[in-house]
Amino acid sequence: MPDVRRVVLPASVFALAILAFELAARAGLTPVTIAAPSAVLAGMASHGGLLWYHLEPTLLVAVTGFLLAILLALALAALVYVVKPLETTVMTIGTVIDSIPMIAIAPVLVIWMGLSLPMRLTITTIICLFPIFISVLQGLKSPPSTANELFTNLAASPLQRFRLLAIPYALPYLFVGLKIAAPLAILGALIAEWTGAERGLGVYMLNAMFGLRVIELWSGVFLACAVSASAYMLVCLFELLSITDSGRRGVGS
Amino acid sequence: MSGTVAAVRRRHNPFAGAGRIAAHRIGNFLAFLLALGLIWQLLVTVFAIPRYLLPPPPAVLAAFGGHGGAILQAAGFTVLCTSIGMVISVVIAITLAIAFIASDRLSRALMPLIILIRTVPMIAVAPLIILIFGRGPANSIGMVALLTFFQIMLAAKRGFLSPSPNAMEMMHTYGASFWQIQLKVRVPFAIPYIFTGLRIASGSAILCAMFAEWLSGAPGLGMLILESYSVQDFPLMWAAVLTSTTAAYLFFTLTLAMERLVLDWSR
Amino acid sequence: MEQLTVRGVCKRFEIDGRSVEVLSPTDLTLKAGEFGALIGPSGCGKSTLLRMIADILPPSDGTILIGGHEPARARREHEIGFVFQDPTLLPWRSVLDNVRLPLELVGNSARLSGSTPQELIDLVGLSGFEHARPGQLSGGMQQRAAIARALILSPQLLLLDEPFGALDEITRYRMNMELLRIRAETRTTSLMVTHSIQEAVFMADRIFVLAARPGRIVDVVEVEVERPRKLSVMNSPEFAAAVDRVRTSLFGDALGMLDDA
Repeated sequence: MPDVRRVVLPASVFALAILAFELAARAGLTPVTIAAPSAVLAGMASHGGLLWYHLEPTLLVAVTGFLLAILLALALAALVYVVKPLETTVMTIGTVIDSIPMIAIAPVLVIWMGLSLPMRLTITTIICLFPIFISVLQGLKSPPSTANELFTNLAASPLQRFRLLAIPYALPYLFVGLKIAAPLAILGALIAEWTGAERGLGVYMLNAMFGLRVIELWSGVFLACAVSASAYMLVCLFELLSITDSGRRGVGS
Repeated sequence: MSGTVAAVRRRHNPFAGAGRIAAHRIGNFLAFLLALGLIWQLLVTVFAIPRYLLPPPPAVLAAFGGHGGAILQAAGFTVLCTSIGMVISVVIAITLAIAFIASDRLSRALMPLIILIRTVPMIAVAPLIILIFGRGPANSIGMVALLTFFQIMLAAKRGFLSPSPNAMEMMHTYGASFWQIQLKVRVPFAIPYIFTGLRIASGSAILCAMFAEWLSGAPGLGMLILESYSVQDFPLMWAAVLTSTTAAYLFFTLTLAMERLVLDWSR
Repeated sequence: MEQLTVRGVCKRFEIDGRSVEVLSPTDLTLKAGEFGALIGPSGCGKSTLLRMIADILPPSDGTILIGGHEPARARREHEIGFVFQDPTLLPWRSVLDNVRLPLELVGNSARLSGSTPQELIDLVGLSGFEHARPGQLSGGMQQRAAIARALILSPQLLLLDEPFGALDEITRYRMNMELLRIRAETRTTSLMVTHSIQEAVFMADRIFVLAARPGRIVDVVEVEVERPRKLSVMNSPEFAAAVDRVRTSLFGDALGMLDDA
């Protein structure tokens, strides 16, 4: 019962806010740049096909780039865990790359690979890689010292220690990283499209912005927000399914 | 012994600690730049990297000389927008955090929405902000405020909630009034949390302002990067990138020094 | 015959380039089936000594023999069971799977002479909780599982590092009696680190009293209380005498000062 109340209150606040926007827009109280929610929904419904035409490539890049980033991050974290002296080097390179603004990396990648799918995937993967890598590495190093001593006492092999101790301990941390990275994957795909593409949600948004098509822009932004929120919730769902012990979820966040 | 002396001196001059932190970090950064320049030159020479991918450091330095005025002007614009955006964000964030602490119902009504909104990467909303605030400095300020608001608000809320019940009860047994407890327990406990939020936000704030300029064409560092790229002036582009990284680092250092200053002052 | 021999073992750590002696050269022995206790203030090196015996930390000098072998070999052959202060159960495994963990690590060649996981779970009194997760158990029950895990490979030597230090006093007494009962069945030679004088006297045949800075053994107290022991032995004159002797070795001068005041 209290669970229901926890949802009802914020949901009604949200509904009230939407209603207020709607009424204000109809009464002509809002600036022309604020679209009425009903108009945005109607616009989305009538342009469903066009929206999907633009959303599809964005989703493709986001999902593929996200999966690539997971694979790379896992491999890199495992490598650093095994070869400990590499940690400082990898962390330094990672921090430097992570602190170069994406708008500076993007042009270089465009020169390198052209306005192509690999370029868009690279941008998305770079944006997602570091948060996942850092979380997983932190997780691999998270077993308490007594657990490590226990495995020493039991004369466990390095592989056993990795498989039975480090990996299970890293799992909740992996999800912390994935929750940060999933919305970033959508953002990465949008940024990649902003550097130049013919199709994509980012292109749709930018065209609407330059053409001052208010309703189209609102629908594009709404769609982008909805997709990132769904990506986040999808990761939460996976976490729920793969970590059955509720005490271990959302570690370190 | 030396610790006592330092403590006594600090009481006389509250700026000493902050100054020391700033000097130390700026020194580190200069050393880092020097090392970066050497490695950079080495990479460019050894792998014969073409100019359009990565121009050699001397060319970038020359760009600093040739376009010093333009770079400085662009950096000034970006830093000003970022600062104004952060100040607005801090004021709203702390006000709202206090409101959430004061009213449990408000917190329950709005926090789930805020957590949901937080899952959206704010930069994805940039085109909308540009549409609403126009192409001038207002949209950079709005973007920075929007991006940093959530981190600072959540940090402040956590900070205000951080004093242990024991500390509050202790003040209560000494007969402190409600407002005395807030001022003497809650606020000092919250300060480090707020600065942590500020620190995390400050690193990304400048990059965010540049993003807004990149899309809107407002005359800041982001626009300079885009322009220099479109006329194929790669040394200038990398000079602008270096400037933005430096500005982000200095911003971060400024928050560290301010935190130290506030802590030293309040002791 | 001697099951555990420690001769001239010491430990030095490098701190800021200075060598700090945590444990001075130390000797101790335990016969097969004996129960020893290490007691002393914080920083006296008792946990360090236990970890050197377990081959978790290398000694700076001296020799340790477990059943006539070096600790490294004893550890590889799973002759040392270790119980930590923190139960150190893997939170995603059930009690049964935690107790079975050592068998998994050893592989299929696991010695069949030992008890089965179920027998040990019964022995430590966790029957019915085989499939519970550690997070669902109380601290005392978690520590029971940890003891079962330490015994699963039938070690020659059981090392316990303040196993009940985190428990409340009532639970601790109960766990003390349980451990005595378990040991009466397994007869495993045991060495336990503790902060409690009562616990040391109640459990041990021999108590090694340590002092700090540098860590060293200042007294060895033989406990003459008969076995099997029940809580009522705490009222016996032998028990009081042993407690008094340990307390005097620990506080010596301080006690006199308290008397003067």
